[in-house]
Amino acid sequence: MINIGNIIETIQMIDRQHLDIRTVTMGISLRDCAHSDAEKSCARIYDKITRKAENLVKTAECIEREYGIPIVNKRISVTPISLVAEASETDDYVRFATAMDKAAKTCGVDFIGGYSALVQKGYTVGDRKLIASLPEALSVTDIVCGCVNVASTRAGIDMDAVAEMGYTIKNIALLSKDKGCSGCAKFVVFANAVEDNPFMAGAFHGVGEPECVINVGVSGPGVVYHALQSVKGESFDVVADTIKKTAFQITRMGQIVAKEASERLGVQFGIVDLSLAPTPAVGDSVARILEEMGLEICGTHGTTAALALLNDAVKKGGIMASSHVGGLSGAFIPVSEDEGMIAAAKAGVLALDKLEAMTCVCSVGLDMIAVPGDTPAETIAAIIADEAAIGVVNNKTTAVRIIPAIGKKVGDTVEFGGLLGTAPVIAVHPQSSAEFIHRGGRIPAPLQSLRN
Amino acid sequence: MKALVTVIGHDQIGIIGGVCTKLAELDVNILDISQTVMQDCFTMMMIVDISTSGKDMETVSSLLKQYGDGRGLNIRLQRTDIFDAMHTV
Amino acid sequence: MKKKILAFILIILTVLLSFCFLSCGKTDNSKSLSDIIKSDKLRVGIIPSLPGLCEYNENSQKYEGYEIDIAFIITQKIFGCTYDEAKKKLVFVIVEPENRVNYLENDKVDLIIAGFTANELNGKRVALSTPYLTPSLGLVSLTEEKIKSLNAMNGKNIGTVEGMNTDSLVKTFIRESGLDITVNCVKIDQEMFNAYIVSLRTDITPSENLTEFGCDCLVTDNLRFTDYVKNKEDYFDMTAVGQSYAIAAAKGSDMLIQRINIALGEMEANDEFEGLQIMWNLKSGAIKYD
Repeated sequence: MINIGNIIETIQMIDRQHLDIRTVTMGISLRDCAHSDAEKSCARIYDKITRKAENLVKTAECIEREYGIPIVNKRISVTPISLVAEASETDDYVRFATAMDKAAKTCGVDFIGGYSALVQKGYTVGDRKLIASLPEALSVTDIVCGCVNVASTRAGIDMDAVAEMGYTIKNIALLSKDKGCSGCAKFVVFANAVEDNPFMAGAFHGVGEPECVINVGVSGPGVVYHALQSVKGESFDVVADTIKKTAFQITRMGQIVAKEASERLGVQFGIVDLSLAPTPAVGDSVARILEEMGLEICGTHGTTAALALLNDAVKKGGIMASSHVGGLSGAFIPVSEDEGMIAAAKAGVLALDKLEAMTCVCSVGLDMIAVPGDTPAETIAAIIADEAAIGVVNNKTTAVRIIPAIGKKVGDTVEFGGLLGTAPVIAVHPQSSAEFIHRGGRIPAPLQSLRN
Repeated sequence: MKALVTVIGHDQIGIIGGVCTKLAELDVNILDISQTVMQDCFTMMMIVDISTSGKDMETVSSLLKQYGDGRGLNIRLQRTDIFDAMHTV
Repeated sequence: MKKKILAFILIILTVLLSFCFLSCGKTDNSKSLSDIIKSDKLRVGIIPSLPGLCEYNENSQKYEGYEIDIAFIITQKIFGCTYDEAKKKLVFVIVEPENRVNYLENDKVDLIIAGFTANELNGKRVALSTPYLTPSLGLVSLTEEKIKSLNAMNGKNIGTVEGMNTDSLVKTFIRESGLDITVNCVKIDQEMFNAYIVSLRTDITPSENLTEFGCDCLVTDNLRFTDYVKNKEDYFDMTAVGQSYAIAAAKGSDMLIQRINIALGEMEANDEFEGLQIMWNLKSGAIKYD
């Protein structure tokens, strides 16, 4: 028997409430592509990626048509390149980024992540070379994304790396200033990075992962927003319950698509990341969900509590829906990619300090935030240090994707285009953190790291 | 394989008959029908079995779409597993 | 018995090899940005030899030039201080062209801003920043026939200095121009070449006549030619891209180079390079006619 109600509900979610599969990401291990000759290594990388992901886009498009569900992005993530390139006797790692870029374009995906290094306890030779090459690599390639993990609960915070990240981000901005500093939108600094995140720019294929996996990221802030509109004025218990049920439905959709994609491609099913990821489109905003809960503008008092409820309910609802939940799985708060966040930042209500508080209770960190172009590198490093501390002490993933908008100041806007959206430039504290950052060394792992 | 045919458009005489005839032409077996008219907008949903048709889902889908375009109807074909999955634990 | 001898030989070899690695292994003489800031001094290696680029002014008793100005700007940015404060922190050290790198390796200077060409060979021994100057190539005719165009270079012998890859730059430029020309590049010893350039400036007859090496002309960075040379009819500004100059630090000084790159990037974003180049008359093709 048809349940017309269910069907109409689902169709409306897709058509009107922006329910979609945000990304189908194929994770590919490049561990076997290492070679002492860098040219040969790059050739192996190109061949392996194009071979494995040959049918990714086609298959995703078929599934899209058959199920009537939009699959917005098809992406690839690879083993952190610092591990693969380390065996090569070369100082020039940019060629590896170029090989990734070419392979991804051949496959027709829109981003490839994994130009990364994991340095929470210090640098290896390969890590050093990769980090030094980041500004050039991200400016000469189009669709390569990179990340660096500078801290973990077990290892503490590598403050030398944090300092260098401040400089690196500034240089990436300067080298891509003619493209709206968009190089910085392709680079994330992590604490407690996860190995199976399907979202960019922080996606990479961790060392514990198998040869090849399919990870799916769903998205549905619009659906949650719509669901909440029918429970206006009700108590928080009802709100939490409503969000849970909606999250269940959203995640189930991701599960079906993930299983189908992995079967058709003959690749192991990895995880469904049940994150609520917004887009700049109207009606697809996490900030509006928080406002729907009763806040005049996102960023006022109560925002952190609202986000905590949302994040938790999304997780609880999604867990039942999928056999394997992973990635970041929570609520995203990327400022430039969320129509409500953009409005709140422009209105001056949503400030950096509040965003930092919000990162304590949601799944990622300070994401897609534009700061004035003259922000000192040490200040950027200090912002990263703050986020790392939150992640390390609370045993969660945090990240910083910050864009120094060269030539712009508070009140201006930066245009990135497409899913990356528009970012209003928000203020940073002008008092200096330079002496703090210049100390260097490591902040030791907190007591929470001793779990045995 | 079970699929869902959704027909949306302005109410006209003969929609149901027309669509059913088209599906019979394509050798698609109709398992269940439900329809409603809301403010001059006609919505019909049919659970069908396309394994009886010799053709694959893509072909059936585009033929139905063609038929619908010619008559001002929005006809869509989707697999049903998604609806079961999303609404049952 | 054989096995014992084999094992013994293997052990000796391993010990010898590990000594080899220890002695010719990479010693880390990289410079840390924090150390520089703590020491409150920045030692910059310079070669005062070219007017406009870097020279000692007898009257004011100061070093002046494009490279000197860049050194001051970088000091101000690294320490976040004013120009007057930078004067106290900046220390200039004169280095010799042949053994510039030793000054970095032996920690006698923190940076070298002295026409260090940014090529892969140099990149192996030092850490290089992004370029701060890209001069163009200039040509000086040595024979009666004055070469004043690319076409006129066809079939000629071009003298270039040893140690730089000016010859490949010339050939690339000709190839990209699409003209059907061939040139023959002759490498001249550095000392002889430099002496000749100096003689051009001062109009004193040089001790060696490079035409004896079969050169019809000389090609090098137009920076080495003063206005005096550029004004003469022997000179032809190729406006071809020469080799970029970069700031050098000890190999491995990643953060220091990153900091310098930020400073250079900000200067470029504010068109400060343009302004300085015009001030010191270093813009290519800027020939002055009195």
